[in-house]
Amino acid sequence: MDFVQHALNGLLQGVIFALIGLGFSMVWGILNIINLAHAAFIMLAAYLTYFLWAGPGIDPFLALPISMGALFVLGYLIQSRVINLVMRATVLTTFLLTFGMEALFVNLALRLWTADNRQSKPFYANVSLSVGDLRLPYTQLGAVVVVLTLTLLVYLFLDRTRTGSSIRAVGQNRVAAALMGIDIGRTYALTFAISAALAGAAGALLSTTSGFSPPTFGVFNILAFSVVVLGGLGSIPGALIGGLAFGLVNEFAGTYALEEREVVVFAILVLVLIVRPTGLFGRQGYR
Amino acid sequence: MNLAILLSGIVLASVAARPGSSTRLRRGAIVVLLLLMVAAPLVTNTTSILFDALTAMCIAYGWNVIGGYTGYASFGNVAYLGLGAFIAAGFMSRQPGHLALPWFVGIPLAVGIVSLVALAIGLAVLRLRGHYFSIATLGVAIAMPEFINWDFAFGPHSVVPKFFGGGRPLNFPLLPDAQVAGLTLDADRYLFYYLGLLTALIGIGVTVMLGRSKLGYALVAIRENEEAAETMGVNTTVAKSLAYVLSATLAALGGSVMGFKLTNMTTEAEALFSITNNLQMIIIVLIGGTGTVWGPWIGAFILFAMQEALRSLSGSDFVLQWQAVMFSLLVIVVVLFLPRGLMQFLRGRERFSWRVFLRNLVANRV
Repeated sequence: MDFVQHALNGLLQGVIFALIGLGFSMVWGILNIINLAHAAFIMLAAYLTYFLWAGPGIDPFLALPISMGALFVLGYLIQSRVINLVMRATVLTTFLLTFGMEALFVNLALRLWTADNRQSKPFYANVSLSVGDLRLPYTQLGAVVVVLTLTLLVYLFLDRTRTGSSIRAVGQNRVAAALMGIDIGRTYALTFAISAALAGAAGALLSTTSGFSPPTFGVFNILAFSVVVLGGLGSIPGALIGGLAFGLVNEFAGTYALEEREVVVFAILVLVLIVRPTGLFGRQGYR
Repeated sequence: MNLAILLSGIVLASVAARPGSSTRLRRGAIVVLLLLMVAAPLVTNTTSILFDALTAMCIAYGWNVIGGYTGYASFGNVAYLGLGAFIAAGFMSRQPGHLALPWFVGIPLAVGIVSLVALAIGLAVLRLRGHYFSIATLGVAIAMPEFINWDFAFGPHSVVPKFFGGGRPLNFPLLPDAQVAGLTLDADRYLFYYLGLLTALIGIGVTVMLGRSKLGYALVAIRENEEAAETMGVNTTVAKSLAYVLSATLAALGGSVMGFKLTNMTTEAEALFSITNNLQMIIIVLIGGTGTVWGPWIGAFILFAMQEALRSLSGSDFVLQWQAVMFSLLVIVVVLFLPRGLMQFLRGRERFSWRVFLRNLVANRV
């Protein structure tokens, strides 16, 4: 029974990991940027959700559109005003730029909001649905619904809409897309904004499922990267499966092998990179 | 006084770095700079900020090898900085169960061990390119402090019991004041300062030698075009591994000397592995100019001159509290406005004007 419970915990956690990976994967696949500020976006949304709950008392799940919207705007501005300026520079440049942003947001958060542990605790937080001996926390069940809905929406948007096609076109061939009349800068900004909004949703969910402080988010960049590598770059089902697989391994390793999860996360990453660098469902770009 | 030393150091290094000036002028500037650095403790009351600048410079020279010459963004050098300090402390501590080696044995031994560790890690991560490499190094930075606190290896009943203190404080021995020709030389003011100067000189020396060696050219070739370099017969995996190990070695050297001066390794452990240290080496290289011999020297002195100026204006608490925020803002601003660092002006092609910043800003837009 213990085993089943751990497997469930891993899957429930993995769903949020999948959401983090999905946003990270879009920016990587289409803009060819490893966005090291992704974890900072998650953090900002977690704090926004927390303050909306602690102040005006808005329910974290109802506040989800607010944090997603706020992060969408922030992401759009960052890409269109800042990162678009260095898109033709070397990979090192965007790395350092997003690394600087990540450090800026995290350290500002530490100064402004301190390192105190916080959690949005509506009445259903830390309460579980019991099925037999199994316990399923309500907030995590809510997270499953949110993540599956968002994943489906992203899939439909990329696959069925005109704007979605233009995003995929830019990811496949930037020059050809520009020649077809697609505004590259705007498309980049939009993609980055959607990715930030997904990070926003993940942050909002994480603020209710467990306690957090600015340093707790540091591991999410590597986590997102591992999820994407595990699932394969540019694959939406891949991100979902990668997230779930990562959640399972993380939970079991954390329970049976090591207390230090950071080491586990890192070990998984190295293992995946060595064994199968293209991921389990690897393809190039969103096609 | 320290500010004056730092500023004259910047001017002298700039003269030495200018390819336009005559060889005699450049040699002269280097000699004056060396004399200034050696004489510094005689003219200033406290050398601790100079010590900080020089050790940070050594670590930045390390980052310059991998980030500047090779063009690989490594975010994990801070791991080797901290590891170097901890291993050195483990060898040198006078606490029971430690070897109590003198510093001139303990520090080189620690640096050697770290380069072996870096080689082992490097062989794994250096099969990776670009994005994959950088993220793997970020992982190293996060995993290393956990590794040092790993009970299985370093706990009370383990392979190397309590080598890193095993949760208890681990201390470097105090360096006693030296007696030379009847004069008492204060350890903080003289001995640590010269140790710091030595690390910086090793850093710049390694860089000068690298710039003239076959390896240096191989690294620049990898930075400019890795496929082409491979086609031309450069063994890229070997070259990158050497660069990575060299980079980690300098980080460990600077780190162990930094730790030696800090003395107590438990409360300061987080500070050694901190993001501030990680940002610091990167920003120093960026300010000066990546992949250059004098860039890190100029960058380090400018960064610490700025901090010293801020400290005298607003107090050291303020500087300490906002240091990390300031560093991260600097990274963003420099990447956007001065991606080639101050070397862009020193190389003589461009005169200093604000237009250069704007031109840099829009040079690579979509």
